[in-house]
Amino acid sequence: MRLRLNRLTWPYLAWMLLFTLVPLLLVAFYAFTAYDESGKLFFTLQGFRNVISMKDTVALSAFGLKQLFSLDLQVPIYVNVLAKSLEIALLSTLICLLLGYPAAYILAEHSRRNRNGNNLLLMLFVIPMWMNALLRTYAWLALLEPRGIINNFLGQLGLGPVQFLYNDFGIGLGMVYNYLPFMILPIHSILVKISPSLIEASEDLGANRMQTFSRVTMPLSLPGVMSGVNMVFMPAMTTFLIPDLLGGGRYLLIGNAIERQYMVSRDMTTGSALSIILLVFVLASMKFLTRYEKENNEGGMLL
Amino acid sequence: MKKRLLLIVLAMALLAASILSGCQSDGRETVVVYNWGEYIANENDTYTWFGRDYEIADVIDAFEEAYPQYKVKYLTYDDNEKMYPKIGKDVYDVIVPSEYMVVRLIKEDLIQPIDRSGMENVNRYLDPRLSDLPFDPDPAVSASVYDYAVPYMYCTVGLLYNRDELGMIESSDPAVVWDVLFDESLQGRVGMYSSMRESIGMALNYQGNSLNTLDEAQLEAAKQLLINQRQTVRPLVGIDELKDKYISGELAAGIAWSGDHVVCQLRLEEDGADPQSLQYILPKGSNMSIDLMCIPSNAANVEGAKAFIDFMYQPDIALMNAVYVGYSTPNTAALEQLPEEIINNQSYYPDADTIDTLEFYYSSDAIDNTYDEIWQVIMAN
Repeated sequence: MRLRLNRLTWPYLAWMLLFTLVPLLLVAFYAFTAYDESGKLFFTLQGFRNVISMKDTVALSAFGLKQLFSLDLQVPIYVNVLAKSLEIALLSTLICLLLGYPAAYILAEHSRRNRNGNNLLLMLFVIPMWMNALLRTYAWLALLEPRGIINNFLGQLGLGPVQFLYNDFGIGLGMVYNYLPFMILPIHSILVKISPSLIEASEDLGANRMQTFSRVTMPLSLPGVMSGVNMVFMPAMTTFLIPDLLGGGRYLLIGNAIERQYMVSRDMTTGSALSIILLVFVLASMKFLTRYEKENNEGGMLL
Repeated sequence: MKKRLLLIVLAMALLAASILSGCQSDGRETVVVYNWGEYIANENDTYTWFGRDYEIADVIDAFEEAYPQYKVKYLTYDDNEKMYPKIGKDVYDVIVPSEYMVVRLIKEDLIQPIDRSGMENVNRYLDPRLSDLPFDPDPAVSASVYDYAVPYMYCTVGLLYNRDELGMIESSDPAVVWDVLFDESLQGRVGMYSSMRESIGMALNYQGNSLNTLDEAQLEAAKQLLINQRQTVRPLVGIDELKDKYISGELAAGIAWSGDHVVCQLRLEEDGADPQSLQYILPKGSNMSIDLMCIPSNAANVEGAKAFIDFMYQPDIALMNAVYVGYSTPNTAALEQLPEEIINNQSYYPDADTIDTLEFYYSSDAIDNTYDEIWQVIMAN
């Protein structure tokens, strides 16, 4: 397909050039260069070498490998960091999907029934997003702290303080809470667009509600699920705010590791190398998902 | 088409430039101050400290009133290492790094010498006990620090603990004091700073080693100790947010700068609780640090910076900051007006003999890189 360049597209092109392409190239540039002692720039793979260096290793702890299977597999620290980030991001995405799909389904049913009615339910999911993510995360801190509001309440009932924070649960909760709307909205917008006549046709042909859902509604909504998964997985993989606050500083996820390389170690080369690796990870997952989406679209259309 | 693109880019650049330069429109010169967070009196309030009342005001407002030609742009950071990469790139007039960072900035020519003539308050009130301090292994470098920098506040690193829970700790032996932080019965209730030198330094001090060691065996031992602590004691890691948790009782003990302890006590007193329930003890051989006001080499407003630095030494202003921040003041006139309990406390105002046992953090490429690598591994565990 040939891209036709309308004069209206120039500002967008300029925007993408300035704020997407140039920064990306800069990161790539930093990832492969460093300054020697006399201040001369030189090409290096040291950044990538640092990331996979076996000099400092830890036991791979992601996916319960260490605790559950007592597997002592020594890996470079950043491999563990990446695996741990992947674990938390995948789990958060899965939980978002399990919570978000039924929610989107109910919302879509609701808006189909009230064609001209209000979308109050949908609004309720969106309104929290009007507030700053940092504030919302701090609010969770106040709620869940060992001496916070919820534990005070539990204490009144004679239940011991529950450790909600500074563990996988706290981080997972923060992620699911922050990113759930990104799962619900795309699924919802696909579900409401499914023509009721398709559902009726399926029922006319003798399918029961379960069959209609599994053979018609669900396959048709997959593109929404895919973009929802993408929109949750990517920020969950890269965030450093949530693990910083809700992890009590005990977690080093890939986002924190990159932030630390830039801000504390001042090692632009390693920081950029990590960023590139993360980028490749995210791009690969997107590629995987969009391919699946396309295949499915073709199948879906045959209905 | 290409020309049009160029025009759009130019227009955007112009727009950005006009927004950025907007701050000079009222004719006042800007003094850009880059300081630690929560490190200057910035509210109108009365603080009660061991029964004595102190009036606090907004010090920045007071400066702008005293010097109507200047306007302060005040920015903050929470870690020397986060401030450092910006010096020389962005323009600041006054920065307040810790002494090891000052030494590095001097060596890298990133800050300029300060001509103290005309800085009357600094010359009159600077505390003599702070002269001749071993900022650097090289005495010549140590001696040059005060040519470039003026002390703002100083403090020590010690153990903050809940007396009601742990009882009074009388010893100042580091092996006894720091032992609390490795007590597994306090799991999840110990606070650690996210600052690498404080954390690694504590472990080194606990094992009887220098805070600036490059001995591999000593560093490896400190690293293992901290990794083990992370896994068994599961400390909470942070900076400013830890204070609330000591006050609420969520944390029973932790590594702390002396100033953070004072702030905790002030808040306890404010809440009507017993301020002495949170205690602070400075172990021998621990760290003393001084934050000093410096003028970066690329400062745009050197005169404004000097006016600001001298204003910080005006006794009433220094007193407000000392009470608000709680760190030890280098201002003799302000010190006299503080509560007896504070002036006579060796943990806050150590005498020359005590100062002799304390160490500053030294900074060199070897030390910085080694400690950074260790810290990275600790954080990843």
